[in-house]
Amino acid sequence: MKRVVVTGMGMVTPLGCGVAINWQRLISNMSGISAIGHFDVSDLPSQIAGIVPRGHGDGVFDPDAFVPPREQRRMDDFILYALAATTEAVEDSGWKPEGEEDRARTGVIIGSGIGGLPGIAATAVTLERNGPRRVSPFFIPAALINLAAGHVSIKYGFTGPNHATVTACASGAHAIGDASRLIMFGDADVMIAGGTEAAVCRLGIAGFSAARALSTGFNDRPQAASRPWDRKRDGFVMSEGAAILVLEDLEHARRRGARIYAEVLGYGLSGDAHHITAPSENGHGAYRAMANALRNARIEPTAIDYINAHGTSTPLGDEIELFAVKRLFREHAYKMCISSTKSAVGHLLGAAGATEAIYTILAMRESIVPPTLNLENPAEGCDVDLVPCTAKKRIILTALSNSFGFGGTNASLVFSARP
Amino acid sequence: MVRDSLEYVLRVGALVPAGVISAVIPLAGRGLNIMSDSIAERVRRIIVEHLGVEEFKVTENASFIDDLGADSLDTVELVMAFEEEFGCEIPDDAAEKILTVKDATDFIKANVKP
Repeated sequence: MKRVVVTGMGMVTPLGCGVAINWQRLISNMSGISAIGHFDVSDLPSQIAGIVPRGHGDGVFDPDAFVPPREQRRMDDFILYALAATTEAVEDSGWKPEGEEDRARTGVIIGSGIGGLPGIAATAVTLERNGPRRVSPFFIPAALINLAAGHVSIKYGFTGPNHATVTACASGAHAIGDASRLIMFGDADVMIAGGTEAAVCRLGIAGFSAARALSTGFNDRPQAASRPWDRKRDGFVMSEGAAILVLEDLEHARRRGARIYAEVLGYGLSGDAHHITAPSENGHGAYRAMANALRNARIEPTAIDYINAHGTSTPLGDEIELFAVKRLFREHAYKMCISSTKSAVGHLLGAAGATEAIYTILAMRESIVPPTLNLENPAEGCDVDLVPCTAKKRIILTALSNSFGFGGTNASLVFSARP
Repeated sequence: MVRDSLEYVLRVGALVPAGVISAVIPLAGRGLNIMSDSIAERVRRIIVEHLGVEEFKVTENASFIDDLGADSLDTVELVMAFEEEFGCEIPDDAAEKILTVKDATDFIKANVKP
């Protein structure tokens, strides 16, 4: 079986456009959450979100820099973000397929939880108000989840496996895990893998609010709203953005002298078989995803130095995840660091797993653990090192990242710093 | 004569704002139907906006697909934009025959009451 390494990274998040600015702000304990200003929220219970900063200049997302204005009409924002993150990741990797064969050995898996929700919402209104003849021919291809991977393949001419994961908030992690396996099994030498999401719109906020999933008590203090494991947490904060990794067969990467960020050492999956939105109380799904990832990586639990937790800041989920970690890692749970970067960027849903994979890899490379912001009073039983409020130095050789989604779908990834 | 004038308008249109052209035409006194010229102008403006092409490329005989880089979805959207602009309905079988800038202008001139 081939070994898989990460050779390129790109991201667009509420903390900014680009990996470097994201990392700098993340370890400076900054939050990307703000009040929603681009649509009416006066009648919505949750009025805050993690929104990608737009405009011109360093660290700000400028759509025209990635996609010509005319082409932008063909895609909802989740595709736009995916193209921007991919552009950074591919440039970062230095991978330039020369011939037909190289392109055929390069594939794409980009996941999304929801796809083009803003376009679906707007088009439904157009249909009702103006009739079917006013529905744009670009509506369906702009909204379909796999069109993120489709557009990337069209832009770069990557003719290898083209695929999309759709597992709610685990989509990004599943994309990375599944893409790694395609390389391991020899289906591709290089995979562009990650997740993207842009569902912060009235319908998205209204829908997650109705499911009682969002924070509603911090509308006047947006940056305090995402507070995993804190006693005052009251739901997650919806965010948008994309994160893309270039995954590569280790030998392929070595042959071309690519910079190697980390190895994808393990991947574990499980299903809760419990409830459509709530995690199982005993945390068994999370436990088995982590256990499977460790087994797949062929390492003992004691090898893990850091866990980037799913930690969404919901009352139920955070403690159940921590309970599963303690059950699996036992006394070692007290020796490692566990933090939730959702405290800073909010919940990027289908892009969360890939965003957090990049943060995890950077934590290993830079020997800095990103903080869990707003963790002022840990809930009962949250007695391990959750890196409250401030980033800290620590050497991390091996790390695990968790992603769990509605429907009871779980994915854990293990990365190691040195292949 | 009419055709020459139209081409003149199309060429000048690349350099001069539409408002100036409509002011110039009556002064030129060539007996042009001002209404039909404004249709041509509006058609060109829609094409420039939707296909993101430079104005000078939108010549009378330019083909949406071969000359202006449109694909089949773009042409559907263009027809929708014409319908919206001129408040008309272009049936699918007629839409299929609208392949060039002139096809569009001719159809609208023939089917839309001024």
